[in-house]
Amino acid sequence: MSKLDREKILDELVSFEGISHSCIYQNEQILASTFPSIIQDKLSGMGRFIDKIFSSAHAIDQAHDEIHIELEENTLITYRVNDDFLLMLMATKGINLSLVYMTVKAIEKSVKLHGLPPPKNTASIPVPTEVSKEKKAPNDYRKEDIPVWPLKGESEDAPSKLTSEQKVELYTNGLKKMLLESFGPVGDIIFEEALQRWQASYPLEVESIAKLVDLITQEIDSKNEKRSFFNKAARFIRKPLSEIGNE
Amino acid sequence: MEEDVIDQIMQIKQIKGLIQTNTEGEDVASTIEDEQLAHFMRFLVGYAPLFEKTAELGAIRSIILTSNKNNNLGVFIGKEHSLGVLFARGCSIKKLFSQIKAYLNKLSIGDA
Repeated sequence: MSKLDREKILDELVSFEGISHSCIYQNEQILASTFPSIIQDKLSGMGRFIDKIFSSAHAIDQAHDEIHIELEENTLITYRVNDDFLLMLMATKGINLSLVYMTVKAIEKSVKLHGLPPPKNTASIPVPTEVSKEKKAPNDYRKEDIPVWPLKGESEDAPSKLTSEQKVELYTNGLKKMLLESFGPVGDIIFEEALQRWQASYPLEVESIAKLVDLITQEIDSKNEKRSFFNKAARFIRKPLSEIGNE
Repeated sequence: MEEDVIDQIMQIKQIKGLIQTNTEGEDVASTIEDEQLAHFMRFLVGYAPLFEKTAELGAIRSIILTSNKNNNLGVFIGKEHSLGVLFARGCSIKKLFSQIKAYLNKLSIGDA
């Protein structure tokens, strides 16, 4: 890794199947992150907690440098690199740990040789909470691409017995499932945030589901993930209710 | 019965020691002689709910620390009891844990 920088480290890690997000924590600050902005302000708190666990272990002469915090669906794996910074990874439980471990060891070696350079275009330590508050307008898809559909074939093939609320629930559950599959527990936070905004601003009916997709897409930071979710969600909400009900 | 379960877990080859604590952090059973390590495991059990509150990512089922120099250690968090485990470094965490998890229900540590 000749041109070592934070983004490259994180990009390499999240390119592994099974790692959804990663970040670098040092001196109570998140220096770089691929986590969604909605969770950014929690990351430094999580980093502080994990750092304290490492420090406590070291205080009793234990040289542990890797922590796995097993959650319901995912595992938060943190490596202490060169006693200098923490690499935090959100991973699925079935991940190939040896692959990640060897990559982290390579990063460790490279950082030893080249150091961890300061973030680009910043004179001082960045303030992560500012990143979280900054809501970038989605720029990798066009809002007008989300039509307010008369949902395809609804009048002909939607289960006629369903109430309006039940129909809405079928779509919202599907979108939530999609987020959980892509982002793990973070997906739940993204969904709840967008759902609250949607419930406050739009009529809770099937015709407004496209607005919910729009709000969820806005909550996703990564350009690629934003695009991927939008495409998947757009296909999903075009499906007739009868098809969704059978999934 | 709990002692039997502890004995059975201790039969797993790579296990070096165990500590079972209740919700107050008091020992129910322990085979760990190093008091500092026992303290550290109790600390992890007590720390888990604080981390859950900060992270808001859901309940923590277990926390594992690994090292190339020391034995690995972990705690399985349950509602009524938690179990701290000291195990040999270099062994397969996944394999070991699936073995331990088979016993956890018997210790009221749920489906951790």
